[in-house]
Amino acid sequence: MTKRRNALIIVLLIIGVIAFCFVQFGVKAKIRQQQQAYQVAQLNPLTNDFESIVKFKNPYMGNNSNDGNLNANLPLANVPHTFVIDPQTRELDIRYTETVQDIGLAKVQSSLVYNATANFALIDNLDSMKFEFPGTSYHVTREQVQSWYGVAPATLANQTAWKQNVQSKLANPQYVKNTFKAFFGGGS
Amino acid sequence: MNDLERYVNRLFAKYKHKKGVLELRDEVLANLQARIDDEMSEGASYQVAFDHAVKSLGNVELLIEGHGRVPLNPLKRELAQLAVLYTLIPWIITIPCWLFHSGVLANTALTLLLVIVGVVYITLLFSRASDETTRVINVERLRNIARVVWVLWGVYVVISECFALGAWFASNIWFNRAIHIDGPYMFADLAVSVLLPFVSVFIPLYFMRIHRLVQTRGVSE
Repeated sequence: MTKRRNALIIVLLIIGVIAFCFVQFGVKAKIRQQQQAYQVAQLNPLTNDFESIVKFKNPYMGNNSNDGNLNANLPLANVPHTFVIDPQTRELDIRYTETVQDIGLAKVQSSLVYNATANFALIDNLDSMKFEFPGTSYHVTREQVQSWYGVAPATLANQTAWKQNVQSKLANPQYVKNTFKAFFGGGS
Repeated sequence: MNDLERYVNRLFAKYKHKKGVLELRDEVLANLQARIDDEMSEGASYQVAFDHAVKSLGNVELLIEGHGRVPLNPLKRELAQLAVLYTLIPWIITIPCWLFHSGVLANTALTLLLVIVGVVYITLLFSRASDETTRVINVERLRNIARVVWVLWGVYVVISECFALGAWFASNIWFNRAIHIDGPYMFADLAVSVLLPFVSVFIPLYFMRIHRLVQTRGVSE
């Protein structure tokens, strides 16, 4: 009986160790890899998952945690930044600590177009935004965004409209440049 | 009360509330008295006769119902072996729980427990302690301990379930909101946190097994 139990213990131990290694180094490693790939995709305006940001739709720009969470799921979230909410002017000011040159102008342009559209589409009473980088800042208002798309930004806040009118168009570099100019002018 | 009565009363003091112990005590007392009288009639002094009678008595605990003499070291080894077996099964069951937040702690705790009981078992397996040593064990007490462990386990499961379900659904109930399970992962996460407390059933089962094992491993005098 004791010997049979010892054999059973050894068999169970082998099964357990194999299962443990499979979960730790197989399944969990794959999940980690997928999560990393997802995080990288989130930083690209062309692959950012709209489903992950639409849950931050909120009527009030004064909702500090919602503003923070929304922008933490948008492109440039990996660039260290702080943000200031001005409830008087209803302006959200995002202050990045890296220069445009360090991040790359093309990346900044497409990201700011995407981020500004997302913020105006999802936060109902947000009137204007300022994106500050060391040495440069870009300012955009809800009217500028609305006049560019020809519709109220909130109407873009569904998967189909977002894909069609915002995300897919950013694949065209000329469209990005034009939109960026329409939104921010030349910057300051 | 003479010396002999005091001595016998002390022997049964722990069990005086047990059924049949008073009769047993009287019987032992009468037997010892008869033996002392016998020796004294053959010329021995009271003290010598008393000492001989006490020595001949042996372990009275074995006379009391619910007690058994068991080989100590083989029993320890078998108990450690069963502890390894009883820990291995929930350990394997909870390995997939690493994919869920609530399961990580449970499997880590079981891994630690498995290492501890494994080390104890291996140590006992290679120890050179004699297999001849025996000890009298109160089998009935072990059964009572197993019952208490079952009750404590039941209380633990009820409290854990209240906490688990509360963490998931308390705000839905409080704010009268519909319960929303967002996909299969969330459902699995919910299932893990609800079912996980039941994995600890190996603890009362092990205590029950200790009782059964001691009962079956008892050696006759």
